[in-house]
Order: sequence, then C-alpha cells, then structure tokens
Amino acid sequence: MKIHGNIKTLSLYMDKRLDMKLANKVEAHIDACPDCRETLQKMIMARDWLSVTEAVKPPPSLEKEIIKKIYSPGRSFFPAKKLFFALGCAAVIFASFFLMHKDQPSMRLASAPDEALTEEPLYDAEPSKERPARKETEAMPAGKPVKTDKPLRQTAAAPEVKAPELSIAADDEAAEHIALKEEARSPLTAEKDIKVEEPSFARARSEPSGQALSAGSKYITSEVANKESPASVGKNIPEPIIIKSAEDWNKIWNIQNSAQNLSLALPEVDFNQKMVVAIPSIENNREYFVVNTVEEKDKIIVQYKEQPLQKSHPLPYQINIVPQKPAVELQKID
Amino acid sequence: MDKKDEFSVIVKTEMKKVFNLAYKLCGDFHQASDITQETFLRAYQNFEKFEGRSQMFTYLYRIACNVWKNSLRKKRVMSWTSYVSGKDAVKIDPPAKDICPCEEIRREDKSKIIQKCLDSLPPKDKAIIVLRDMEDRSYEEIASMLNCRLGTVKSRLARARKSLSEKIMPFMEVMEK
Repeated sequence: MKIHGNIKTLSLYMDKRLDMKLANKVEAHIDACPDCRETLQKMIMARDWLSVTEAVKPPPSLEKEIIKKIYSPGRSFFPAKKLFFALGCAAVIFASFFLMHKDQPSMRLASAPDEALTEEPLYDAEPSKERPARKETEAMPAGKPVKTDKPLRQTAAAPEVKAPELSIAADDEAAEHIALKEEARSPLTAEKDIKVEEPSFARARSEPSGQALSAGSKYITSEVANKESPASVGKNIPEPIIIKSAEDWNKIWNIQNSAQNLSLALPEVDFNQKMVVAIPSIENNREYFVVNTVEEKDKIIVQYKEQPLQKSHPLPYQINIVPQKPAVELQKID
Repeated sequence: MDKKDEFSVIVKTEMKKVFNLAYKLCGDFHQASDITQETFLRAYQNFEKFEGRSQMFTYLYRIACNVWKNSLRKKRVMSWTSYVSGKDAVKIDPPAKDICPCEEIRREDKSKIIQKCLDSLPPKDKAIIVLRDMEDRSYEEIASMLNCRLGTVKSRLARARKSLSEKIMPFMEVMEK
C-alpha cells in the first residue's frame, strides 16, 4: 500500500483506525518523509483547534418553543396537508393528460409528427452522407416501425390519375423488373391486371425534362437539379410507382418483404388521404435513393440521388407514404 | 407516560447537543434555533418509526443534518442570482504578508475564524468534520447519520481535514507567534 501522499491513510492514522502493522509502516514513513510529516502535523493541529471550541448555550426559550409546537394541534395536520396537496397535483396532471388525449384514441398513429416518424427508416435505403434535412414527408404509422441501420429514403407521391391511361404496356423493362422481384405471379407484373385494376397502382415511365408521361397522366418527372449536364438528361431516371389502394400496397409490401425473407407486418395507410410512392432501387444499371421529399400545394417533389450499380442493394423499392397530391415530380440531386 | 411526555424528556436531554451541532454546521445562532426546532418536530412526527436500533442522539443528529442540508438548498434557491455571481461564496484568504494578520485575529476571535474556515468547505465535508473532530463521533455513527458508507466517511474526512488544515494554518501560525 502506498503511504507517501496518501491523505486517507494519514487521516486514519490520526484516528488510530489502522491496524498495528500498517500503523507501524506509516510511523516509519513519517519519520523518514518530511512532507508527510508536515501534512500530518497540520492536520493534527487543525483538529486540535477544532476540538477546543466552546459549546454554545441554546436560547432559554428554545425548549419551550419546541414543546409548544409539539403540543400545538395544528401541527398534526401537516402530513395530511401534504398528502392532500400531492393527491391534488396528481389529479390535475391526470385530468389534463386525459383531456389532452381524449380525442386521440390512436394518438401515435394519427398525430405522429412527420419529422419525428420519418426519421425512422422504414425500408432499406442507400447510405447517404450528404442528405439534407427531410421535411414535409408523411411517415409510416408509428406502430409498425422497421428498424435498420441505414438511412431513410423518402419518396413522395401524388396520383389522382387513372392508371389505364398510362403507357404501362410499353414499359417492358419495368414489368420485367417487377417480375424478377416477385416470383409468384403478381398483378403488378401483368399489364392486364394493372389496366383492369383501375387507377390505384400506376407506374409512370419517367421522361427527361418535366414532360407529362401521357395525355392523361399528371405525373411529371424531371431532372431539375441536373439540367446543366446534358449527358444525364433522358437517362437513368427512376420510375416511380404510385399506390393508391390497400390491395396494391399489400402486393408491393410482399415484394419488399420477400426480397429479404422478412415477414414484417403491413403498415397501415389511409388511402383516403395518403398514397405510397415506390422508387425502384436499381434500374438501368443505376442505383437510386431518395434523399428528400417536398410537399407543395399541388405536387410532391421527390429528390433523389443516383450512383453506379454496386450490387449492394437488398431491397427492390424505396417506399414512402406521402399525402395525396395530383402530381409527382422527380428531382435529381448531385 | 404518553408519547408527548416521553418526547418532552428527550427534548430536555438532547436539545443542547442538537443545538450545538446545528450551530457548528450553520454558524448562525438564530438559524441554529430554527434547525433545532425543525429537527425535534420532525423527530416527533416520525417518533413511532424510531425502532431504537440506534441511539436517540444518532437519530436526532441525522435529522439535524438533513434539516441543515435542506436549509442550504432553500437558501441557494432563494439567492441563486447572487450565488451564481459569486457574491455569496465564502472565500478564505490567508492573511496577506504585507498586512499584519494579528489585526484580523484581534477582530475575529478564534471560534469565528474556525467557523469561517468551516463555511468555506463543501457542506458534506463540513458535516463530516464537525461530526468527527468537533462532536467526536465514531466513523460508524457518522456513516449512519449522513447515510453513507464507511469508506466514504474515511475518504471524505481525510480530504476535508487536509483542506481545512490548509485554510486554517496561516491563522494558527499567527496565533502561535
């Protein structure tokens, strides 16, 4: 045991709280070490000073005052007062909490703040170091989060458009893409199915510079941020899938799950107010990931990034639930 | 003998000790009276819970220490502005070399210097040094009164002693001269 400079040992030595063996060691050390000797002497002197302080006489009336207070009847109610006060506080807190949340039975699902919930990655996404702050994005229901370590990609969608008017039949590549992801034959892969199934599940073939996809389509895709690089125009633009029915939502969710052998519960979506936008993660030998969605008055802007295919993407789509808008616009961000 | 009579006897026998402890802790006569009163009132309210496993004065000392700590807390809250600005901070400066410290010692007697030095310690250190070196309580009693471990008492006492000796030493040197 180190003795030199050990104040605690010296203090215990002062109070004779050390065993004989250690006390002898300390004594030998003090004889040899002037620093420790001085420290010990100072401490002993200070203690001696303290010990000679004279006792103070309490005021003569103090005892009577104490007895008087003990005998006074008001004092006995003091604990009851405290109890009532605590109960009252608890009642007020409970009542205010109840009133606040009375009209919100499914509080988390209904009133989940956009930003807070969209921070939870719902689906697999590409890592992005330079992502801007995400705002104005509708989130998945809070009750069914899917946690991954990867950052969230967000897509906004907006269809009031009817699917049959879209040129889905010509989109062989897209159909093939979906077919690869969904082994079991799904209505998504079938041109007929999509056409028959009215408007809810629409695929939009993206076109370069903000052109409408088809006459009846209100989906507009464009590359706003990359207008200055002509090489990129007309190439490598992801094709958003707009989902407006629970049935189609279920289908694409199954695709997403089966790609990772997962069986995650289907998140609830109120298709009266919201829609789902799915952006393929890989297309035309490019990888896409959505970095932000911006909700505007009559459209949703989906900002995305792209990079060469690295074969690291485990999920076919990046899915986001957004408010329903009549148009969707894609913006590529460098 | 009913509860009140029994407790009245305790007040008579223990009040002086409790008052002295309170005075050493707070350094103020009136505040010590208040602490003593509050200590006995709390002891009386919880008298039924006292099982006699420790001595009565240990029980009372523990309450007194808690009352004193609470009073410090209240005081700190009430004067937080000046506390933050350091106006209320107790500073013990050793006697300046160019000024004869005898003057200060003449002005303040020994007990005041001790009290001033004690006030400059952190409350926990102060309590432990008062209980050990002024009230001569054992380590075990102190641990019980302050509701801490024995090892904590040892280390805190050592630290407090060293700190106090450094503060008090300049005055002692002058006194010796």
